[in-house]
Amino acid sequence: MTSLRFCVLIVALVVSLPQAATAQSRPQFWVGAHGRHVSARTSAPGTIDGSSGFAWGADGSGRWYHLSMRAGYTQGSLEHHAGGAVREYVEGFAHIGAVLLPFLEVGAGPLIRTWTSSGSDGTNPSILRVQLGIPPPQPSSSTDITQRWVLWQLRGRFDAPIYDSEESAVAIRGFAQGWASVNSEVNVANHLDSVRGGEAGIIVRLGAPVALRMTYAIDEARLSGGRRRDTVETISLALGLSVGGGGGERPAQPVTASRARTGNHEP
Amino acid sequence: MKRRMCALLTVLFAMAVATPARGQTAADLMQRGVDAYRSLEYEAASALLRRALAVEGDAALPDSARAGAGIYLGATELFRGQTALARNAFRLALMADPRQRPDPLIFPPDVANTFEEVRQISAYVRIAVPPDTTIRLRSEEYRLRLYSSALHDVAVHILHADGWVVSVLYEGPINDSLDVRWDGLNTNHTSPVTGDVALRVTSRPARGEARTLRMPLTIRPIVADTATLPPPPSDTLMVRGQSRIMPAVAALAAGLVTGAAAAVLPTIVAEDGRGGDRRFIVAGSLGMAGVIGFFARRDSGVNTENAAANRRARAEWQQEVAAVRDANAQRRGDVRLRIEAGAVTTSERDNR
Repeated sequence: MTSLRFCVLIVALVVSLPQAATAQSRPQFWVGAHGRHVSARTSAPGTIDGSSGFAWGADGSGRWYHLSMRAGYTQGSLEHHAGGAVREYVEGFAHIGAVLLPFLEVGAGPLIRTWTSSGSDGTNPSILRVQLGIPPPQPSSSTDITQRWVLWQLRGRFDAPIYDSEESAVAIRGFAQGWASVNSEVNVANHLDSVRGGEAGIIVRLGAPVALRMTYAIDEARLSGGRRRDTVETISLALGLSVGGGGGERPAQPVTASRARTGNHEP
Repeated sequence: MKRRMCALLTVLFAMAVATPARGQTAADLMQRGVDAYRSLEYEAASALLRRALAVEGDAALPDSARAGAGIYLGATELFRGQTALARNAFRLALMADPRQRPDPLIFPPDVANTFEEVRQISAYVRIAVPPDTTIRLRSEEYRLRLYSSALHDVAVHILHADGWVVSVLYEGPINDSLDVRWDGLNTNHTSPVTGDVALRVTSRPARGEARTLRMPLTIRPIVADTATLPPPPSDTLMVRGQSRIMPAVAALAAGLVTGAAAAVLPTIVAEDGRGGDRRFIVAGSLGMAGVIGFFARRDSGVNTENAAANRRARAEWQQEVAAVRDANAQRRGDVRLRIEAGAVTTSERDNR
């Protein structure tokens, strides 16, 4: 399945959605900055390569009727556990989706992640190249190695209010989502079998419109028939502005009936 | 036949002339008595004036005319040498109208002097009240005026039908006239006096005869009708709220499900099931938030919009009830008393 065909499928899905999500009449928006602790490990027969570090970025999302959109960008540096080498980590995503039910959202879109490792970072480029199946470099070529992953994700998100009150500005929501890559590309020779991941988190609206979000996410890619697995774990803390959203309660019905004026003479 | 016709005509004639003659008797007798007095025919004047004063009922002389007739009679008796009878006649004149005085252009000084002697020892009071009036309780007063023949002490009381004093209106001296006001309340000014009561005016002269006037009063309260209270909003008008326990359970479930998802994500996603321990921070936060949400929603209710709509409906009803109650309280406070006065009766006793 090509990327174009995938996009057409997603657009068709969104457009053809029934009006089942009319309850989501109140638009919701989020924009914020996040700090993220990233742990990455590559497992191959006989070797495990791990690195971790902090990354920073920003993301935003919006819900409008049964349409949802999400996008984000993160960048940081990870250090190898074996030494002080550095891997540059850059990730961005853009999703478009549909709100099927007040608590259920489906979406799709690309996630692009790059890892840049240099020969001076302590990693043995030869071993890495062997692991990745990259041909030996020419004498004049650079020692930098950049992995670029392009993942077309299909994801489902469960989003539910935990506490919400009009009398108090504080509100708490929880969410969990899972995703799978339906079309992936990576610029290494290894054959990419599958990529899947999940995320769960909590959003606390401290006082309109300031909100705090804490999430845990993990995804794993399987390459070369499962002989190699790349796993990325993140835990992030975000501070942002949250507008709209009320927990999905049923809206109040208007009181329109007139009242009878009979009886009850005051004693 | 002829005799019967004559008898019938005689009866009809007698009936035709009898009615106007009887209606004019008192005034005519008085006029004839006055004419006789002016003609110095004191015997005839005395007889005619006494006959005029003796007429009672609808044909009786009004008080002002009775007072005048009494003075003429007293002067007549004085000139006849009957001083005791003259004093009685003057007393009769004062009783009819305490403010009556002999005209000095008509009567000589002897008459005026004797009359004044009688007036000094005769404490007569006359009551003037509206026959039918209405007063607003606590803002208006019932006014009565007393006319006195001489300076003396009076006591003005409102009596219950059983005789006990309901309210004391005045106790003190009266000279020529006195205005007395009554607020319609009892002596303690706590409740209005209603029903059949009597106004009693007791004259207490220093010497002479005490006299008590009693005027029946019928007092009826007039209270404005109160308005109807609006009925409370019926259940069918209230927005149905969710039960408290189900949303609370939903909040708990949301927290626990998302928290569990955070905890087991590595097991689902990673082939080796390994994951960082930091995920339990998120999982624990979600679980704790679910517990907090459970108790918060259980204790405060959930559907705040519906609850707010119901609160607004109840508040509007309570405002309407309060407005009606205020209006009713104002109407209850606007009590009026209708007071109807009856005929005065007099009783005298010797105070000496």
